[in-house]
Amino acid sequence: MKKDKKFSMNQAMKKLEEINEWFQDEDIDLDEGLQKLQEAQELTKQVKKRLSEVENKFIDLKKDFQEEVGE
Amino acid sequence: MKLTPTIYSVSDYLDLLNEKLGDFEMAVQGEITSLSLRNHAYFSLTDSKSKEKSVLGCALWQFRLQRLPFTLEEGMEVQIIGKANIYKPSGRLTFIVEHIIPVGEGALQKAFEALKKKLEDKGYFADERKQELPRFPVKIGLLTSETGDAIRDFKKHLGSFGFNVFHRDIRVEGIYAIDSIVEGIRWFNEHPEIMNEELDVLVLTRGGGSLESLQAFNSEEVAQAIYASKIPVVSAIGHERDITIADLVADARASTPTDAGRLLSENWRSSEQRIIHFSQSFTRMMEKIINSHKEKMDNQLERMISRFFSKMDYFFEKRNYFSQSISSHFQKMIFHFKQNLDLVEKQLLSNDPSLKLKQGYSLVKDENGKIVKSVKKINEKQKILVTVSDGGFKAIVDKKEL
Repeated sequence: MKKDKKFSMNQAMKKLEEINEWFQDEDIDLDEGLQKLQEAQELTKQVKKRLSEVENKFIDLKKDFQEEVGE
Repeated sequence: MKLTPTIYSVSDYLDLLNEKLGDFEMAVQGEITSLSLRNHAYFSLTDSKSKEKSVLGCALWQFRLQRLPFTLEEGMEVQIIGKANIYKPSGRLTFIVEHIIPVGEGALQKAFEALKKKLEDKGYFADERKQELPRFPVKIGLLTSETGDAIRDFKKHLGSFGFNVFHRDIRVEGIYAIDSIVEGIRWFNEHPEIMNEELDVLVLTRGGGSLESLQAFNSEEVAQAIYASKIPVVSAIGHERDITIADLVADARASTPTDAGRLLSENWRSSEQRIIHFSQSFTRMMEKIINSHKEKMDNQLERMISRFFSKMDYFFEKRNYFSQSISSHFQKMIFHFKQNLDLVEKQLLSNDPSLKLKQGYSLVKDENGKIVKSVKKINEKQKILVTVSDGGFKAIVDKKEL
């Protein structure tokens, strides 16, 4: 699996899902909750930022297939 | 007048024949025998069921061969449409094929089923061996024809999420299709350096077509190339209902090029919604937690207050009973205390013990620091502390005298 240098969308979303799961628990520690909320806010910000970098890059790998296949 | 036939040269005669033959565009059906595939395809067409041996030499030029939606094979029953022509250097008649249509979808279907069974037995379609697609793919290798609609549809529905799409042109039908697809898959696997890193996913796609036109995707060679690919392969071949062998081997299947674009951007698209949902859920939960804590606190406070008040009530009730006696008692006590205080103060002022000590008196205290005022309060051998004006000393009572 590929890895981004700084920010991995995959990891960020996984972490957010974990936090979400954690929050579904009934018995939650207040301090820990605040900490997680802060972390979630930071991750959300990063994900939003990544999603706003929208440009796609298309690279045409030109190759005359005749050359290869046609011997 | 005597009619004398025109005398032609061989060349002129053949030209004339070719001119006449050119008027007859015909359809002929037969079985392909002695097939030779180079740049062009040459084969003989024979009547498979007839006892009378008849052979028609045929040629299919390269530009048509490339667009052919299926692979030519010996033994294949076909209909050909075209015109005959005599090749002057050899004098041989050749049917120049313009269209060729295989006869009997059944034959192709049979071949498809046979290969499907074979690969299924080999475990090519097993879910356990399929690679998982990365959830957020970025680097995509796209294998499709640069001229078809597939590439447009795919790009259009991919959305814009910062993808790097590397497109490599392949033939998706015709006799070169198999080699071209196999080579394309292999090439992406063997050239990770082009993309700095290995690709996240390969997309093999083309638009829909007849079973014949999808031949390459039903070939064992392509199936093997997909099977061997280290990069996960998404196949998106044809329309909704066209399932090819390639689809079955691929790690993930999209029904159309459009669907493939959607499939790869699905998580990107939904993550935007998800994080909005998450932040709402988080804040809601946090509020819930805070509220529950507040509630707990309020409850405790309330209990404390109510307990306090119940104590107070008890106190007030008692006070009503004893209020009078208590107050008078207190007043008396306070009065006495004050009187004593005054007295002590006066005595202290007039009888400052340090003055007496300076006059030569001594102060005797027992071990408990109690001033000894009577000989009765003292025993022989008892330790005492004697204080004089400039200090004190410890002593032991030698003898009591009354």
